[in-house]
Parts: sequence; structure tokens; C-alpha cells
Amino acid sequence: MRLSRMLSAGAVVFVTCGATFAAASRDHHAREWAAGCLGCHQPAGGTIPLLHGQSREALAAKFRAYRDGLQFGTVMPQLAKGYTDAQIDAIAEWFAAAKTR
Amino acid sequence: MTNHARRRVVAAAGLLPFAALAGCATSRTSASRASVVVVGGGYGGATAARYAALWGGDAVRVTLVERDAAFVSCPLSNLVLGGSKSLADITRSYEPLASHGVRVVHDTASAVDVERRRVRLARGDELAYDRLILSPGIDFFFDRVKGLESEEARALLPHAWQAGPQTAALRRQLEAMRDGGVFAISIPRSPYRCPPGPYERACQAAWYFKRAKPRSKVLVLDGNEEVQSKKALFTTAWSEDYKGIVEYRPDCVLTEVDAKTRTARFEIADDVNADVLNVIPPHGAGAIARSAGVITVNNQWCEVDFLTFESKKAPHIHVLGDAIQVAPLMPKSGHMANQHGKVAAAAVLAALAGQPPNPAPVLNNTCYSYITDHEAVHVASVHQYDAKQQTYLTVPGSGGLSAAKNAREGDYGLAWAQSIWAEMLG
Repeated sequence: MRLSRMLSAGAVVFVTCGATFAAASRDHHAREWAAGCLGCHQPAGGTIPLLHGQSREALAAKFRAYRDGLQFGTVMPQLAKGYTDAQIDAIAEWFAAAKTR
Repeated sequence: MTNHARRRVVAAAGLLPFAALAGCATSRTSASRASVVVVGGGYGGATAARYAALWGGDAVRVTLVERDAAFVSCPLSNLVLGGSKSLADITRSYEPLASHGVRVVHDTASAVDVERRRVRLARGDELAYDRLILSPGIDFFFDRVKGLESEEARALLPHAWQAGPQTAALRRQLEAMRDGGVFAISIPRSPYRCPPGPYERACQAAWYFKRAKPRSKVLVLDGNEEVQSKKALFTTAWSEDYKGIVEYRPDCVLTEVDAKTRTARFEIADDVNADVLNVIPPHGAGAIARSAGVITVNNQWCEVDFLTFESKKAPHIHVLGDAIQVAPLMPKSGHMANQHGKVAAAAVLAALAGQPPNPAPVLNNTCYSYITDHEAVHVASVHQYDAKQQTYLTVPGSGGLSAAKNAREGDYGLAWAQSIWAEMLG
């Protein structure tokens, strides 16, 4: 009885850690993908807009508008076509939260 | 690395949030931190150091070894040759990196002891590492062009393919050149650092001549069979903006120079006599890569695992930037090196934490070339990791070029530089 309780407690810890690990990995992938944007999109960038703190929905919509040819631009319409939907959503989410980081 | 240090990296990376509850918490002494040593403070190395420190937190000690006292950018350095920018405009300090957790050691890395995981510095110190990131840029094969072997000859023919004193020396020669003179640029065979760079250089020299010495000529002597980047945009500039000034000659594989008479000789093409001769010599990965034994292709470039940028030859050593054997259509550019730096920093921290790297890294490239002092053109591309082929592939339909030179992108090019320098150096 005691052994099985210990085992089940262990299983809970294991599952929790596993879930945390998966979430942390996703979070890390998002920040790595987002970092790909930060060479240009810095506060020092002047005419290049800053992405931090914009809403997730607005950023993802603008990214897709570039991708789909609905938004005029110079490099962004060409770059946006190279990203997957999952990457676009993860990047938008990361920047939306970035103001608090 | 000790288990202790590994646990710390794991905890800092957010992967073991219950470490403290499990009784694993200990004070973070520098002795038990993992050591990440980065060699080379250019676009690749400074970025990797900055992100290793940012993402690694107090789980890692990050040391950047850089030979030069200040960073001088190769991108925009052609504007210094043209005279519309100064060297000061493209120079930045390494000092802010200290406040971002990066210890900068101004010395030359002279050797790598792969077995003992140590980097030897020219002044005698040794740095121990758990992971080493080499971003050594390029070194030239001066022995592959007859007549370039002596330092005396090279002093007469600055390459200006590493920005700084070389840029200043070539600018002085252009300023001293007579009106009606010939400025010749010799381009090595691809792959070389910065594919559009030589053609932008031709534009900037022509922009200067057009105003200051309008009877002068720019001769582009390409070791390749055609313009290697932004071809239509550059050829348009040469036939419109710089008509009668720039002349392009393909298939000029340089074999020999006479530095005193500024004569260039080629495999097949006719000899050229110039007033200012700019030889960009053949080059490969920087010398420290040779010491580390990570040069694997053609005695020139370093093959890496593209998920982590770890050398295919030496474990625990990652290589980035211009020194690597690139993936298909991946340019050797500062922007690309900056992208490598972030993927490598993340992979190094993951490895130190005993975790797998991000299985789907993506790289982008954006490169501006100046046609005039204020008008630029771009090339852009996106490179997704392909697990099956274990390389980066450009995404079909993505990427592209400017339609024509424009002032808006001239502004963006300058903004790009300010941004990326701030990202790298703080």
C-alpha cells in the first residue's frame, strides 16, 4: 500500500515534470524563432517597427497579411512566405508577452 | 561539466522547476557554472555570446575572446570607401557586453586543445570550456596568388575584406588616385564572404568617382562566370547610374599580381594594369579553426551539424558564420552569421542541460547593398531546417529581391545596422 502510494506519487511527479518539460521546450522554441526577428526589430532600429508588446492577434494577422500578399512591404512579404503557421503563432505569442519579460 | 553544473543549467533553462523543492538548490558559485567560450566578436560570435549569457543566466559563464579593441562592421564599410560614411560611423565598442553578462577578453586565440577542452591565448593564458563556439571569420590564402606572399606587396594592395585599417588604407588610395585612373577589384571564386559585396564596392567607388574624378573607371574582375548576387540590380546600376564608369569582366581567375606596377594576371583573361588594385584574395575559415581541426571541406570551410552548429569533426566545438560550409543558397553574410549565433547559443545551452536542441530551427537573411550613398537594394531569404536532408533549405516561393534601387531601403539598411549592432553588442 505504502509502496503503491509512493509509486503513484512518483508517477505524478514524473508526469508533471514531463508536461513542464514539453511546455518549456515549446516556450524555448518560440523565443528562438522570435529571436530570428530581433536582428532588425530592435528599439535602435528607428524606421523598423518594434514588435514587443503588440497583441498576439494583431501580430499574427499582420504576419499572415504579408505572407498572403495583402500587406505592402519591402522584405517582409518575401520573408513571411518562409514561415509555417505554427512558427507565426508562436512568434506572435512570444512578442505579445515580451513586454513583461 | 559536473552533474552539479548540469543541474544548474537545467534549472536556469526552466527545465527543472522543482529542483529547489527536491533539495537540489545550492548557491551558484562561478566554479560550478558551465563555461562557454566564444572566439571571435563579429556578427556571429558576439551574437552567440550575448544570447548564451541572456538565455543561460547564471548557469553559465560566457567569455568572448576578441582580438580587436572595437567592432568595425564589414556591412556598410563600402560606404566608407565611397566617402559617404566614416569609419567611426561603423565602429562600436565591446564595453556594453560586460553589463549583459559577457566577459570580453581582448586577445588572440592561438590554439585549441580539443582533448583538454582549453583555448590558448596569444598572451599565454588558457581558458577552459565545456562548450566552445568558434566564429573566426576568414583568413586569406595569400600563397595562392603569386606576388601576394610578401607583406610589402600586401601593404600596396589592401583587400579591405575585413573592415578597419584595411578599409582606411583603400580609401586613402582612392582619394589619392588621379582623375582618369582605373580602380580594379579582383573577386575570388565562390563561395566567398559577402556575395554582393564586391559589386556594391564597385557602385560606391563609381559614386565617388562620378563626383570627384569623373574620368575615372571601375573595373570589376570577377573570378566567377557571372555576377554572384543581385545580378540584374547591379548590372542595371552599371548601365544606368554608372554608365561609362563601371566595366564588368567575368572569368577573371587571378593567378599573379605585381604590386609595384599594380598589374593583375589571370588564368585566361588579359592582364590588367590599374592605378588602384583591390585584390580580394581567396579565403577560408579563420586560422583558429585550423588549430581546432574543424576545417573539413577543401581545406577551406568547416562542416557542422545544422541543428546545433556543432563541428562534424570535433565534439563540444560549434562553428558559425562565414567559416562554415554553407547549406544550399545560404549566403556568407553578417546577418546570416547573427542568425547562426542564436541557433548555436540555444543548442549549446540545451546540450549543457542534457536536453535535445530545437528540432525545427529557421534562419532568415536580409542583405542591403547600396547603389548610391542613400539608395539601396535588398535580397532576402528564409532557410528552414529539413530533418530528412539534415540541412537548411530555402522555402519555395519565399525570399526575393528589390524591384529597383530606392531611398526607402537606403533608410532601412542603416536602421538594420543600428538594430543588429545593438542586438549583438548591447
